[in-house]
Parts: sequence; C-alpha cells; structure tokens
Amino acid sequence: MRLTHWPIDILQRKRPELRRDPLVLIRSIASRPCVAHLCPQAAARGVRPAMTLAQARALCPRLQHAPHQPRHDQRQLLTLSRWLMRFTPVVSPAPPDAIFLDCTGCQRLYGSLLALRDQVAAALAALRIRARLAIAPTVGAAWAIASYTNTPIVTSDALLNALCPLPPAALRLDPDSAALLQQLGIETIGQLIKLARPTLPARFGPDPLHRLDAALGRIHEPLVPLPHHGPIATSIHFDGPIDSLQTIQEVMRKLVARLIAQLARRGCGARLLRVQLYRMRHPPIVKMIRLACPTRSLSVLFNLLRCVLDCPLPLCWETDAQSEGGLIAIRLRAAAFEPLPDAQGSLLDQQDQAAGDEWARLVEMLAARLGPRSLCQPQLVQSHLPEKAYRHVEPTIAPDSGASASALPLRPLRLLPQPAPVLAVACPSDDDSALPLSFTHLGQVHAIRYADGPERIAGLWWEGRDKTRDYFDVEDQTGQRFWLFRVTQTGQWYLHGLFD
Amino acid sequence: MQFVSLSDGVLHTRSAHHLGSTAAATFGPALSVLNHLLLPDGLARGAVHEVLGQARSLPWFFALLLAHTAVNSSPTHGAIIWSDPRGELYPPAAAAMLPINRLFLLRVRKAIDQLWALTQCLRCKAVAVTVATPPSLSRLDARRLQLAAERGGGIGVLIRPAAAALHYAAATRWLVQPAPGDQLVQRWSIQLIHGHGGNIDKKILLEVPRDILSPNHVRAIDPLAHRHPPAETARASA
Repeated sequence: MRLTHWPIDILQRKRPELRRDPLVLIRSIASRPCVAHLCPQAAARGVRPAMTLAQARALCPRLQHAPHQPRHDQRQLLTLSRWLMRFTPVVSPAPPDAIFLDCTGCQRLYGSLLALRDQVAAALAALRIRARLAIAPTVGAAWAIASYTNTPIVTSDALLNALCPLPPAALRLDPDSAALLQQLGIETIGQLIKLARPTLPARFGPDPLHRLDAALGRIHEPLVPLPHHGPIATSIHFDGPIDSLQTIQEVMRKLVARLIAQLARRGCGARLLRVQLYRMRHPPIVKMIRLACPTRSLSVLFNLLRCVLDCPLPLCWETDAQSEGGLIAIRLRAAAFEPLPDAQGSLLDQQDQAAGDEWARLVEMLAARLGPRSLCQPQLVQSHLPEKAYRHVEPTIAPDSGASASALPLRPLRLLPQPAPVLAVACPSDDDSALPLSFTHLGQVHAIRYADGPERIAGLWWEGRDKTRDYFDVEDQTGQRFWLFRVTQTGQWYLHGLFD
Repeated sequence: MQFVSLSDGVLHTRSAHHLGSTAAATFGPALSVLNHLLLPDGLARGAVHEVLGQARSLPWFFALLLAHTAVNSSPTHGAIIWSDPRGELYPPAAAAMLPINRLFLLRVRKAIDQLWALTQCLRCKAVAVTVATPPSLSRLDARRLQLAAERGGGIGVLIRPAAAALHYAAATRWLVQPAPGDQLVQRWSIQLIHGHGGNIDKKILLEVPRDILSPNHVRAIDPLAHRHPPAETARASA
C-alpha cells in the first residue's frame, strides 16, 4: 500500500479547513523555506517539490503552507498500521509512506483477495487518505506495482511480465544506483534482467541484484510485523448480584493481581486505571484512578481501589433491598500504562525516598476518592487585583524546598470568595476618601474604632470592568479587623476579607 | 552525616539531626515569650493542637503562626496542607509566613470526606503540618486524628469555635480572642487552656503591626506589663 499524499492527508484530517485551497508542506533548506510535499491542486498549478515558497506563491497566489513534520507523520503511520490490523494480522509499516499487509490466508474471510483489497481501499477512502493498493506475491513486487501501475492484483505466473515494463526505481533502489542505471540507458526492469548476473554487483553494488531477486521471489524478504498488543484488562462476572463489600474486596484483590501479571509481562506500570462496576438494572459505575507514577504494586493499587469502593457502593447498597442491587460484574482496565524501569535503591536516603513515596500515595488516594481537584497548590501571579493574585495548579509530586515569596502588600489572611455587601455609615465628606464609621454584617453592627485608607484599586477597564474600589482596613470595638471596600461608581460597601 | 545501623536484620539509616536530640520531639520557640510564659517545654510533634476562637472570628493568624513555627523547626522539608473547604485562605497573605511552594490546599466540602482526608494527611510522613477547620468532632473522631498525627509525626492544627469544641484529644488547646489594638498594632489575647506542664489560664497578648505581616514582627507581651490606651483617643483618623 503506497500512501501517495500521506503528510498532506494527515494535516488535512487534523485541520479540515486546509482542504479548500492548495496546500504545501515546507521545510527550511539553508534558511529558505522550500516545498517538501504538495497536494494535487498545487501540482496542477505548476508547483513542484524543492521549489522555494516564494516561487510557489508566485505560481499559486492562494497557496497555504504548513511546516513539514516527518516524525509526526511517522508516528501517524504507525497508528494507521495498528488500525489496519483489523484486516490482516501481519502489518508492517515501511516509512515514510508505505504499509505492507500480509494477506496470506485471508481470502477465505473476505471471499477473495480482490474483495479484501476493495474493503481496505474503501476504509481508507472513508478516512480521506489517498492510497494506491496492489496485491502481489512478494513484498518488492507489491511496492513496485502499487507505485507504478493501476493493476489491483498480480499472480505468481504474471509477476515477471508485470515487472518487466517498470523502471528500475520501482525496485526501491538507492537514488545513486537508480541514477547510474538511467545514465547507462537501462530504463526498465526487463532490461536489467537481461544483463549478465555476475556483472551487476560488480558495477552497481549488491543492492540492485538483491532487490531484483527479492521482487521476483528468488530470495525471501521478511516483513517485520507490528507486535500485537491487546488491552491490559481483566473482568469477572458473578452468577448473581453480589452485595457483600468483603467479597467484592476479595474479588478486587484477585483482579488486581491478574492485572499486575499482565503489566509485568509487558514490563509496564499502570498510570490510569478504569474501574467499571456493573449493576443490575442500573447504569455501570465508572471510576478513573490516576497514579502519580507508573506502578504495579499490589498493595498500592488495591488501596486505591478500596478508596473508590468506599465511595460509590453505599449508593447502590441503599437501593439493594428493593431492586435486586449489588454488583453483577467488575471490569478493571489499565487505560494508560508506561514502561516501569527497575529503580536503583539508595542505601543512605531511605527516609527521604519513603517520604516521597508516601506523598505520591497520599495525592493519589485523595484524587481517587475525592476527585482530582480536591488537592491543589496555590501559585502567586502578578496582578494588582487581590482576587487574581494567585491561581491553583495541580500539586507537584514531591514538595520541594525553596525560598518563599516576600515583600507583598499587606492583605488579609481570609479573603471571601465573593465580597459580601454590607451597610456602612461613613463620615460626610466632599471627596471620595470618607472613612467608614460603622457597618452591619450578618445582622451585627460593628462600630469602627480605627480605619486606615483608602487604598484605591482600579478595575480591568481594558476588559470592560471599570469599577474602582477604595479599600479600608478597619477594626471594630472588639478588636476584630476587616477589609472593606467601597465601589466609587456606585457607593456600595462590601466586606472582602478578615484579618483573623 | 548519616548513621547506618543494623537491627533485626533490617538496615536503618538516620540523619545526624535525628539522633540524640530532643528538638525533634517538640518545636519552638519562635516566640520565646509565648513559650516562656505559657508552655516552657514547647509544643509536641506527632500531635494535634487546637486553636479555639469565636465562631465568627476563627483565629487563623495564630494557626498560621503555629504552622510557621513548626515548619521552620522541622528537620525535613515536609508539605503543609491547609484544609480550606470554602476557598477563603488567601495564599499571597499566607506566603508571607509559609513557603508557598510547599503549601497545598485541600478543598473538600463534605464533612465525612473532610475527616477522612484530614486523617490521611496527618498519617502521611511527608506532611509536616496540617491545618484545618474541621466539622464538629466526636470523641472518636478527635482520637482518630490524634492517633493519625502520632503515626505521621507531623503537627495537626485544628481551628475550632470554642463553643462547639466539646470533645478533643489534642495535646494543647489555645483560646484566642481578638483584643482591642491601636493605630499601629493589632492584638489578640492568647490563653492556654489545656497542655501538660503549661501555665494554664494565664493570658498574654500577641501583637502584629498593621502595616507588615512578617514572623519577625510578631510580639508576645505580658498584659500586666501593657497598659491599654485611653478610650477617648480611639476615634478613627485618616
């Protein structure tokens, strides 16, 4: 299978808006953007590979361009190869733009090889991936026929006749050998075959003869198939609804042990667990457990699962008596896993290591039972607005040491998430700096003994929020200290914080 | 320096500052006067300490001060977890006294989950201080938190309204009430109401300057040596 416009197709699948106009992919050669790949529309306007972007634009004014990312294309080729494993079990990607499917023995499943080819072609067309497909007895012949002809299928008998009219480049020769053959006037594979065999390696190196023999089936060219990885999952179905928490925990322990055995076979540790608890006549309960680092420790995974079980089960237990509740099946899947290298133990820093592990377990447990947002870390942000001077980020795994922030303006330790409107009495004043004399909050009157202010904080006028606040630091008769502000535009007073 | 020892077939390593020093068992004295007047032995590690106040004005600052003292005297760089279900703690203000990169906020609203989370945090050896405003605690809950703190070796600081804190299992209990300040300082009245070896029922005053929040500017004074300003000079002025 040759993917004729693979980098273009991949980009257009990701960004469908690029389908409208001609598109080229560029790469920089000596600081000049040059065309690396182009779509048929651009080719029809005269754009050619290796042309500079300026020249291509001169030919095609509405030309769109994007950087060429060969590594990304290669990763996507691997993904497509995995997807194609639904047709044949042996799939071998051949970067940059070819995939070999070994369809030996598959014709019985599809009726005929031609039907298989048509199904693959239709599937690729549905994905809007342009490809040329051919079926041939050898790998080399399949590549040559898919690249240079429209013949859908070539049998062993017709192989020689099909290959003879093709150019030598169809044998996947290296560019130097192909250029040399062309210089010598050898324009077809048929002419190459007619040359004396012993002279070929002497004049062109071992490559052309080897490729020729492989294409004609004289020597075997093995395919390197993609390893087949099924999902790491395990499940259990009960004969009837099970509502004993102890039984479920025991079953869960066995499931985790099975999952760990699967993980160990692949040398991986779980990063994300998906637990599905199936109930009778109710939708299944689905829980995700995120782990801070890949692990396949039985106690760690089981403890996290126990945290999850503590949470949802009482809900279904309550309905048990009336509606035949309880669990009928449990499925456990490692939705994400990573290679788990064997860690080198340290002799001297065992306590630090143990503390680090405990911290990771704590973060995971809190996230598993209470949700990922239950524990967060504040991060200071440069902003003159008090409520925007920090944000919450995900907690880092190891709390590290470091200097704390300092030299901040004085702010209350308790800041109300929403400023509470209060009724305030202020000194009569001509300007806006009237100090408050008393205020009422939650039905309690606070007579103010000391007041300091105003500290004027302007709103984000460039975002359309132009309210200006005058902040006052006040203390009432009992010694309680508050942070009040008045909106200058409306005159309304609010309580924003407490210096408790 | 590290010491390596072998006992019962298990290899143990300990840092030099863990060996033969009683400082690891207690912490302080950041405020020498406070310790001298109220609790000469210092506050115990691996224990829960309660800070009691009025329901409308819970003493967050004193809890912050205890957390600051515990963190500064801690031999390890453990995390500080502040349980803040309503999202009221203002991190830029807390950053003046606590290392912000080790401060974590616990946002759990349900009381039962909050208690579970607090127990887990106190049990964790990587957590140096856990500060919380817990829901009403039963005797069992209070004991559970204390046992968790003993296991973890950190400090638990519970901020509770004095009227509702009937059951407790804390090593020390402090009653903190706002006291009238003046134009320069804000004051709190601090009273130790439970603590072995402490000077129970003696009140002292804690003073913090109004214009700066820094542990170096916090002062503890004996009220007998302090004279209140006359009431008539207390009127607000610009």
